[in-house]
Amino acid sequence: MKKTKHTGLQAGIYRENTKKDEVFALSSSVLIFLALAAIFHTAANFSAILPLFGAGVLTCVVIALVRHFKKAKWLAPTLFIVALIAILLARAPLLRGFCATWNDLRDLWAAEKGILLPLAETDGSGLWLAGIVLGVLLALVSFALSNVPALAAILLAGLSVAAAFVQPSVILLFAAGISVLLLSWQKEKNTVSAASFVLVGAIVVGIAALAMQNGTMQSLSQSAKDCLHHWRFEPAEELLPEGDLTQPVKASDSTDAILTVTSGESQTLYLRGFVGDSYENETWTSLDAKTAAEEKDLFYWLHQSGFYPQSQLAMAARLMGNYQSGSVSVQNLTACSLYRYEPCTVLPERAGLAKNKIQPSEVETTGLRGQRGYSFDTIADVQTVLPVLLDFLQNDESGAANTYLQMESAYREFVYSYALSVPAEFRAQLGAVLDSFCEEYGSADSLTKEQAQTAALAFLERCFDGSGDVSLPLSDTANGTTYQYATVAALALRYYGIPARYVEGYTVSAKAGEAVSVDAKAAGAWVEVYQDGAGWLPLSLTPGLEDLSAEQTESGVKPVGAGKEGTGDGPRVTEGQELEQNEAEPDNSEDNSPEGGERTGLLRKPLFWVILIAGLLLLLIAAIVVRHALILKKRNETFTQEDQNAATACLFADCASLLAALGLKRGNGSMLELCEGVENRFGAENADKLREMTLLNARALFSTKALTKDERMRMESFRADVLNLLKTHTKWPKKLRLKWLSCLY
Amino acid sequence: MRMIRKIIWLLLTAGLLVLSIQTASAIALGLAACLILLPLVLLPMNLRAAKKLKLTEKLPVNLRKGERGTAELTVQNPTVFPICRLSCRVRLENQLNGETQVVETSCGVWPKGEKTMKITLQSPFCGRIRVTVESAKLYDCFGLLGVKAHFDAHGACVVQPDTFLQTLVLSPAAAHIDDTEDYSNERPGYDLSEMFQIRDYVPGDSQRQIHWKLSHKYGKLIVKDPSLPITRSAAVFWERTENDPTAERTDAEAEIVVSVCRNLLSQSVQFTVGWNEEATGHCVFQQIRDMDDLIGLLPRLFTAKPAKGASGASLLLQELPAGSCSHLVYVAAERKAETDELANIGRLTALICGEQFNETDYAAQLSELEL
Repeated sequence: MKKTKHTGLQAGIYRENTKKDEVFALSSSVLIFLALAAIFHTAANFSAILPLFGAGVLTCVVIALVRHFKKAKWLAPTLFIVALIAILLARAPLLRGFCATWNDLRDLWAAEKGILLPLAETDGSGLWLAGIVLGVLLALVSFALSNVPALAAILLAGLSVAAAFVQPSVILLFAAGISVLLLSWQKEKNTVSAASFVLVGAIVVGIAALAMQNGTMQSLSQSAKDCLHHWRFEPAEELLPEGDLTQPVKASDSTDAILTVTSGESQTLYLRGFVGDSYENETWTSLDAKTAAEEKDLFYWLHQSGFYPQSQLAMAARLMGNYQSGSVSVQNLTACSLYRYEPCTVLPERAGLAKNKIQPSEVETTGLRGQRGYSFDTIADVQTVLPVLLDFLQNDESGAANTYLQMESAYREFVYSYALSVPAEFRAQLGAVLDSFCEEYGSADSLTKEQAQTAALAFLERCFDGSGDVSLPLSDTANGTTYQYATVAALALRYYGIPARYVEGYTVSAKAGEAVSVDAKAAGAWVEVYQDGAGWLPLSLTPGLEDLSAEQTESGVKPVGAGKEGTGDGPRVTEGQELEQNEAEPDNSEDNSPEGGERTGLLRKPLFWVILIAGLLLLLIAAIVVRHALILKKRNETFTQEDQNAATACLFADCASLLAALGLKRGNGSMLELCEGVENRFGAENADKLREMTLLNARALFSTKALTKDERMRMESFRADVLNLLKTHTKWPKKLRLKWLSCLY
Repeated sequence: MRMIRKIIWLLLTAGLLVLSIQTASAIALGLAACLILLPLVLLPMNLRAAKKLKLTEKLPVNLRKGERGTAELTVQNPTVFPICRLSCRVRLENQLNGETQVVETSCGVWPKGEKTMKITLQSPFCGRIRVTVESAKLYDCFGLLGVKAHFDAHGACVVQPDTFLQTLVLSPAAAHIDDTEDYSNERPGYDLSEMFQIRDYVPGDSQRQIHWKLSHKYGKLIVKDPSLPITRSAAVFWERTENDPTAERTDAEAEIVVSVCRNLLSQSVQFTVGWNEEATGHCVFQQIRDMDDLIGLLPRLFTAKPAKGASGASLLLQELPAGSCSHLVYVAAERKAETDELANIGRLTALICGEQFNETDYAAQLSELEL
């Protein structure tokens, strides 16, 4: 309803409260509840869905009945009492249920978004009770939202989209459908509009579902995501294939600067971008979030202890203390800004690492368009530090070193769980050739590290000797490139039992204090090997494998050198070392098992409970104050409305409430009956005023003649008098109750 | 509101597109397509239906002041297409004091069906409330694309004034024509030339009323009551020219006019009611013989909008010759320059609702009035 100006003439929409309307109100609140429950289930991975649905739908029905019988004023106190009783009688299972809900949420967010949340200690019981309470709460919210369908529509749509970013789920479409239905249904409960939408919607959705078979939609979705990725992060055409080697890789001789790198020291930097952890169908992909999330407790523990896989080397070097630090700043001009290009020697402080995020491989930037300028600290003399570091880790027996080795051991176990997998297609293609290079040592599964390195060196030298008599993967798309070399090398190393991964990025020879422009020639891929103790290292830095690194030439890629032929003096990681480290592995010990619950222990801290209770109390007080302010505001609006008759009647009704609070309840009779009581308690003057105001109220209610402003003011003055009487004749506990709970003033 | 709906639609469509990319679901894409296609599909249907729709209005004939009434707008859809949303902008105007309100109402109509939209109206001031459909538009489900429809539907109802009881004393105007031949059958008057009734003498009766002949015949004093002439050239004129009209004062003036008329009728006085109209620049006169005439006059009287320019008094002086009525009751908001000259037309009683006019107790002030 829209009015041009306020006048004596009043007009509005006529509203009838029919049974049909009640059914509509019930169905709209149930629909909103179902949509909210679907969103909640998707975004919080809530498993006790049946109690939630049951309680929610039942609450909606109860609210509808309460409205039907016009007992709405009993609803809030009844619910409050029921909630209070439920909390008093079942607080322990309720708490356990909410803790279990929190843990469900934690599992989902770790699996889908890689976000680490603290673990709540619970045995998982009481989830059904939490489901009931949440169902009731959601139903109350739905009931409130059913009065504002446009707001509900936009809220549901927004929540559906937000939930889709957490976990894409088909169930969200149901919520989205309801939001569109609410928009078409409108506040007037326009059934024609809603029915038209449902009919046409069903037809269009049916056609879309038939036309867009799953594959088509998947490819469309992927194309859209690629376009979005390109728009967000790639201002120019990206050189690096980011693991997708199904298409021919782009070769560019462009000398346009892609990155500008400034280093405090002269050093070779392997700026790591995309990291491929698993290979399938000529495509490298980063570690699956779900796989990583299975080890969320491990990562939570590691991160809490300051251990990050990306800066593992630097952490170990810090323990040793004998290293030279340097600083590097990177200006990303045209490369993909999704990744932070950082070397393996980066120190954790400014490395873009987050304590509460699982980042097992690459470091991704945040923000809509990523991050283009950043700087970080590194270990500058890694070539010289590494051998000393490995010796240090082997020999030092300090507590810090032992703690580090425990963490490293736990992480290594995780690395070995995924970084040794070789796809069947690779085994089928090159398995026989690979076996031939290790047949003198036994089967590929039982090689020592030294034997594995020797076999890998020999195999790779053979593959890339230029003869071309070994048929290699990616010959059609990446023949002779570092991408092919890195793929073959990573898979071969894995085949021989050395954990390895494929990395894309830029190799930069930085000069001290000089800004180096990095062009397309520096782009490429390399292999990183997990060096026990030191973490992921590029091949050229890995002891025993340094000669395996690819050197890009005009004619392609060739390995330089063939290693030490397994003489025993080359690789610094000797069998003895390996053994010692294995001894340090507390795989089956209690200390090494990363149980997030025991380590977080949040629920055991008294401070947590104090803060929680204080927070809840503050919330309660805030709710009471807001409720009080809202009720008073609404009441004042009725007192100051344009219609003097209505305003005067409202004022008098309020006076009656105030008098009732003073113990002068009128019952079903006239207010004039109270005059005697008022006279006895507060004097004849007040009784006369009450009599006069009662008559004025009768005029306000029944006379067709409009009351004047002065008469309304007189009623206001009477109300002020009664309020004053109330304040002076009641004690403070009652006064508090009347003011903050009954909201009488 | 329409802009908000468009923004909501836009956000919903964008949200569904994002959802379809995120979930790779054809259903989400279908829903998004539906959001886009539905308004386009419904547009030609609405274009056709806009020419065929019929709208009728039904209003209560009379309302009391402050009483709530309901206006019904019934839409008939003779087409085979559904009308998802018919939005009407309804204008309500009190033609007496110029107050207006605009209400927007909407509904959906099934094919070959009809739907009634109800609007409540209430006025604390008397007058004629005219209800017109100012504009109407047909929308799609989401209220995006509108098609105009034209309806020639309007209705009106009269908010009756609260009249008050008045002791109206009509004194004969010696200087003016009062040569009537019709006398009241209900009450005695002052015209001794015509007898109303004969009765026994009671103390206090005038000696002039004693019927000596009959008294002699019956042996007791008999008196004769004089008659009251009912056909008089009395007139009630409402000055509608005022500088700063207020709804309260207009309402009071209307009540005074109607009350005076009613009380004149209750004394069986036939009279003329007049007022000046701005549109024509003339005065309107209407003969009132009984209550039906008065009731029939009210809808027209209550369309007498406040006028600007020449005063009603000056128009009245031009249109009525001097001495053309015996009594003239002149109701106005303020005293005009020509007011005093109206005494030439007849015995003038000017009821001026000036600055000292009290809107609350004018009924009490006018409870006794001698014309």
